[in-house]
Amino acid sequence: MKSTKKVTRFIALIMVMILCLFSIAGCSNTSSNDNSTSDDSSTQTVESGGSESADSADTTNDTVDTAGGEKVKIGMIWYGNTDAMGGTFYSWANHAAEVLGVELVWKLGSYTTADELTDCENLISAGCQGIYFVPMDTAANLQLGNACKDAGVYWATSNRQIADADVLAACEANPYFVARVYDNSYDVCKEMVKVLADQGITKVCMLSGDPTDAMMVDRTSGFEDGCKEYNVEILATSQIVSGDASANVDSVNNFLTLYPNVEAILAVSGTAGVGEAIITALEASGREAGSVKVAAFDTFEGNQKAFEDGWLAASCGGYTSECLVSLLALISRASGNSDANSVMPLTLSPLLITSAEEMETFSQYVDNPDVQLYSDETIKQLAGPGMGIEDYQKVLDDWSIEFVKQAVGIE
Amino acid sequence: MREQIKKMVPIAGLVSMFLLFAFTTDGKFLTRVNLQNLIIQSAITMVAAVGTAFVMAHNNLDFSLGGACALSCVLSYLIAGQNLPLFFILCIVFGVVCGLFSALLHIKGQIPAFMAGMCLMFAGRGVAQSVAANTNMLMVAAASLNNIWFFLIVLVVVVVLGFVIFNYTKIGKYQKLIGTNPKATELSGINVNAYKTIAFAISGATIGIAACLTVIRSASIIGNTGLNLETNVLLALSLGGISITGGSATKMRSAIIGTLIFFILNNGLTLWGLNPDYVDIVKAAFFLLTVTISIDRTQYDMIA
Repeated sequence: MKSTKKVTRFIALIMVMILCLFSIAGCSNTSSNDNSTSDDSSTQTVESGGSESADSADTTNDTVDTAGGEKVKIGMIWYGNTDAMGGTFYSWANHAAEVLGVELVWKLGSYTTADELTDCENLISAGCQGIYFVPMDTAANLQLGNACKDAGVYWATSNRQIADADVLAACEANPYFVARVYDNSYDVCKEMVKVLADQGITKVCMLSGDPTDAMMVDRTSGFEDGCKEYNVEILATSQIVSGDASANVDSVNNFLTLYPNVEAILAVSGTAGVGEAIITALEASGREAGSVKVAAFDTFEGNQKAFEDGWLAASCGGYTSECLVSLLALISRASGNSDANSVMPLTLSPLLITSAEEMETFSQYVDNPDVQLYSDETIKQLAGPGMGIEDYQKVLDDWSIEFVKQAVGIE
Repeated sequence: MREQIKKMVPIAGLVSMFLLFAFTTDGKFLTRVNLQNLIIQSAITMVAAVGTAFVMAHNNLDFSLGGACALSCVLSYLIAGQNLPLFFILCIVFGVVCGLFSALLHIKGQIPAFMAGMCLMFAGRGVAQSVAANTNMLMVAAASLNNIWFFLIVLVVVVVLGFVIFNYTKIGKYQKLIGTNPKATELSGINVNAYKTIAFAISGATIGIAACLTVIRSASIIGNTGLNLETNVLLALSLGGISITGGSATKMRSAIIGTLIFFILNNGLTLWGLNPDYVDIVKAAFFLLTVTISIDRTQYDMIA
């Protein structure tokens, strides 16, 4: 018994000593990314790799390599691959990696900045030359960006704007920040109001979003400014209660009861049961189908039928393109195909859907992991040399229902 | 002999895993940066696990960790704002208050401790989400402390203090005594409730420290701050071979060994570049194997 204790204590002591020795004194620099002690040297390492691979990694090449001939390795911090968007980007990214001969290392399911930072550090240790992530909050840009900068690793984000000016300035000063792509929700919301105004609607109620969420603020402002521009009166506003369908049904019922002249409902988000709750409340109100229109951001279950029944007038969704463009810009930089030294701010206007037919196209071909909307040639081109901010932005600007139809050959 | 082998499983698992990743990751695992990252990454869970071990020693579970962590952060921010020293002090104070509140519910309210902890977890999470919805709680200045030295010092201080209090003072010894036989402890003149309360207060203090480290890591406070902390801590303690029923079999080393196993496995699997679809399966298999071999089954003897 005593001998077991002694052995256990001895092993524990050895473990602690090894950890402390290795951590403090350092024991090895064999990792390709263990270049944190000098930003300059790390920059040199990456850039020298880039100049050589820039010659070899043109659009006709099969793979994107580093100077040492190793595959470029990209760390992917992603929320999950089980829902439509998550699964679609997972599929698109893996396909792009296959086309480009790039290795992706995925970390799924981190929902806090601390967890994302842990993933980022582990991926850097794994030898990734680039880190792609969707920041869980504004501070995630700063923390993960600093980790990447210290290690001389490039990074890119999508789907989130940086809400704080100081954080934005710090991130923009980070030489390893490649691209940040975020939704142009504001303009799409204005467009959605225009769709309603074109149908003669002049009085609406609005379900607004979390005032501290930059994306939600953008959408709310877009609706408000759209209403001003197209002479639509907002009768009342209520904040969406995320994840509580009954609370959102109550909000719609309150609108219908207190403002019987309401002609449409604007919703900054239709996900997490909000869209379903709105349609359910309208259907249960006893009003004639389509007598109150809905313009809701994000797609939701049953939206096809809601269009056919006349309730839904405008919807929008489809953000996977921005994820892919951000990733391809990152691969381009990490493989040395781009010598840009500043971050590319890019925007994507989500797809505006105004009919049952468009909704059907969206459901079948967008956010569908089995459908690749971008050709292998486009993928190679976007990850290849000579691509600039205008090229990436053009791809994002081309994102439309018409593009989707063309891509799948139904138009 | 069989019991002795079982007791060695967690440390043997840790050593095996360490060696496995050391030899199969082309040296990536043993780089200075990676080992530093491991220490920083495991600090939050290890600090919280040290305090939780006190509560587990007297045969209770503290489920409040994540919610209490979020609550401490939010309340401290509302009072201290960007004043970091004051924020850190308040975090620990509110952590202790959360621990005492759990103790109050458990001892005076006669509510099972795990239920009291769960209530606090939900309440804390709710308050944090409500405040975060209306307040931007960025703490960029805290990020400057996200370095190995700060985390190492905090970790060493907490672990050494925890080890000494747990093994060499009445506070720790009585927790194990209560866990072994609360009635006999009471009859021997020891104020069981007072010592249970102290255990919750210690657990609260470590939650407060863990909250500080969380803010340093994330540079902000959001509704999800401290998410899954209770799960990670309980899992780490189980991996470390802690006695779920408390008592004299409870060892502080479980907090250290279990946390290191938890984070080394996570780190090593990433270094391997394992397909994400298999990561959770591998983790589950390893956890099940370790706990199956090392768990103290004496509490099930009665059932059999």
